[in-house]
Amino acid sequence: MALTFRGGIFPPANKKLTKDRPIEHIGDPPYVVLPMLQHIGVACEPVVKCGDKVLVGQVVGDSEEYMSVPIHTPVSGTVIEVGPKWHPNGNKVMSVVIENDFKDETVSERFKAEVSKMEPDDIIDFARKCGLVGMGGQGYPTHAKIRSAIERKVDTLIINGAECEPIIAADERAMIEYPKFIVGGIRMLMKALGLKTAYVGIEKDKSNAISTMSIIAEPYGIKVIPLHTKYPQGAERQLVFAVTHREIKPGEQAVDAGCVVFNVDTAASLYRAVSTGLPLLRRVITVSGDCVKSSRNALVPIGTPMQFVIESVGGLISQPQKVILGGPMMGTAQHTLEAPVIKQCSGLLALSKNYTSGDLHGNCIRCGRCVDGCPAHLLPVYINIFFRQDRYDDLKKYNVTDCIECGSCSFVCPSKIPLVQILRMAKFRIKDNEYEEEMEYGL
Amino acid sequence: MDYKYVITSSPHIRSNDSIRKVMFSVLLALMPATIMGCVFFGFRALIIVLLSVGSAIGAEYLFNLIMGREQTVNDLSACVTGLLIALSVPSTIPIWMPIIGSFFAIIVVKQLFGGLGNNFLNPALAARVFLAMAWPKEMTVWVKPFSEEGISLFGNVDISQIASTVTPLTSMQSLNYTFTNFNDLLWGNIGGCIGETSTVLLLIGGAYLLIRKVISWEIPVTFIGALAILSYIFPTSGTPVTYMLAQVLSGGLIISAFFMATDYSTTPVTRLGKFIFGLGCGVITFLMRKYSAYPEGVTYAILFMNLLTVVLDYRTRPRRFGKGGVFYGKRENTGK
Repeated sequence: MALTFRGGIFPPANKKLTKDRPIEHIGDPPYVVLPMLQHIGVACEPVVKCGDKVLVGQVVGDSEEYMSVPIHTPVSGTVIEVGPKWHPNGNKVMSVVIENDFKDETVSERFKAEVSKMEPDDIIDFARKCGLVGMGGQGYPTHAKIRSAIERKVDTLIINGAECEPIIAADERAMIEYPKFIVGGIRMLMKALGLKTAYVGIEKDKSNAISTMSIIAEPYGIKVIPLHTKYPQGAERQLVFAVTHREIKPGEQAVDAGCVVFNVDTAASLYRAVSTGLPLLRRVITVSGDCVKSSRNALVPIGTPMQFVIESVGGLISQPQKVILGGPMMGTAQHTLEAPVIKQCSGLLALSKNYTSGDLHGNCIRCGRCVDGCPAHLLPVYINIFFRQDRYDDLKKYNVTDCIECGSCSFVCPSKIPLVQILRMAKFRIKDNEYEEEMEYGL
Repeated sequence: MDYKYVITSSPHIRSNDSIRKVMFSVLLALMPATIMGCVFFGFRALIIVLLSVGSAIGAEYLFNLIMGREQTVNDLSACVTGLLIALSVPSTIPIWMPIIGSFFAIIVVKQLFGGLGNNFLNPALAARVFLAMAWPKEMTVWVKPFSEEGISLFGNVDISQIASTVTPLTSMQSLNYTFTNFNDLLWGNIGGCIGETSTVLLLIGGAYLLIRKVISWEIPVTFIGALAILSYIFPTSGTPVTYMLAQVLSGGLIISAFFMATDYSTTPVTRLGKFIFGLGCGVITFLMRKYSAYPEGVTYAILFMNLLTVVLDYRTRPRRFGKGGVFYGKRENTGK
């Protein structure tokens, strides 16, 4: 009996095209765009100027703040621009543009680290130096997560290999192709947290990944947990519940429930940084969609413009109507292919017109599918009504702030009502409203 | 790059479900019983079905046209309402009556409250009650199947000329009812409304809806279950088992439990709410059948429970994730 949570939906996985594709290197791009914001927290400041020569692995952006990680260049060459450029989030963000000289010169001093001699503090410092962030999509700085996990004395380390997003298979391939890196990373995390065991949650339809990981991981006390194949199995709250049966309280984090969750790719990147002595420079993304010539899993230098990624995997067969960075359920629609691939995105999808229809929605027929599908135990039916009537008190009473924005409600709605968008707006409105109240009454 | 891409909120994939597909499944599920009804009650029944469905579509079309709203005929919900009205009237009624019923259901019950999803009463049932109150005599003339001779298609039905019969429910109200033909009850070879008599075919349709996940099991199971258990414990006539079987297999129970009480708009959205809803329907139906002047209580039971839908939803909200018990909206303390 595979472990799971209440609610959730079963979107067609569509991983046939991607799950058997080995991870391949794509060529280095002629230039990279490195936004100074590739994590949750404080944006970095550029530390290079226009015209500077940079080497592979050199820091180009850094910040004094704790909730921040440095940004490194994956190519060597010349800084040709420092200024606002398009970011995958749709805004312009301060970025460093580096022209590639294709010499691939690496920085002279690599990180020297020996896993066996590293103390927890060393691992934390090391994670920050390498620019590690949560690579499952959230982008939470890894060093900050380890630190808070140690401070809160967590007792359970969970590695997220669920990969519940349809189409995307980057994590699955990583688990099949370099399980040793992942296990190495997990062992470092275990050491940092002072734990003897760790759990790797993998959806049970990824049988190859489960068997490969089991063989490598089990000798070190790491347990592989097969999970029910259901979306959003990889969401933090749902994963923690499935593995430990603990529910994270509203407004709290996983560490408050004694758990800490890292993505498999984060663990792998940590170990890769130790073994190569180079910071986080590349990541695996799945390039797919019905408009690309062939679906691939590609190891992409961070900062590669999407245009180049698509060209280097064979280009497009038809003009896409929609380009998405991330998975089809939670990814961000892009308005330009100039924006780069950043640390936390796991997929790049070029979708045709078939995926843009359904934006005209009908009446809510109260079928209750959103209620059955909601993993956060909400009633989107009623939140939809209250939002349209500006009933803030009722929105709060119906716990709209608990929404994890997984998109299950929108997916199942037969009337195609953009429910998750409504819930998101409702959350913003509540925040605004509270802020106004505070201003007014000085609460 | 000049090309413009479409920007929308996530998710970027949607299920291929639609209101139209849901309604089509319901129509499909009702087909066996409809065909059987037309076989039993003859050509006249077919005419009533066609008129009822046609006028429901017409009413929806006209209303949208007059109000300048977007046409919603394509979502097939008017077809379902029209068909349900036809199936829940006797085949002997004057043929203009289902037309009035359909117009009442679509315009008064559904569209005046905001259209599909906003009505608080089941349109088909409300129309049935409306017809039963306006023309009580015509709405309670039952004939045995295969006895359409003597019923003219147009004009009023002369009750004295036809082989009228009583429904099993009516006869059960008298104390000397003896339960005789189980097979007839099962297949619907009894007096009753056009579509409500053939239990087996309605169950096939209901099973189809359950398998397709158009409806969930809570309402039909608790509705039929509550009525069955209550009639087993408190039989009026016959042995408990025969009384229970007769109660369950006759009247409008099966069609109502699977097709009327599961109407999305007028039933709770939570699982527990649905459970209580079905239970309430069963209990009220039993009480009305046993103690009221009406032989049939299904219609009123469902309409009454329809009114409680919002309250049931409110009281059966799912437990908040991360909180034990039902949460009644205190402000959350997010401080560590």
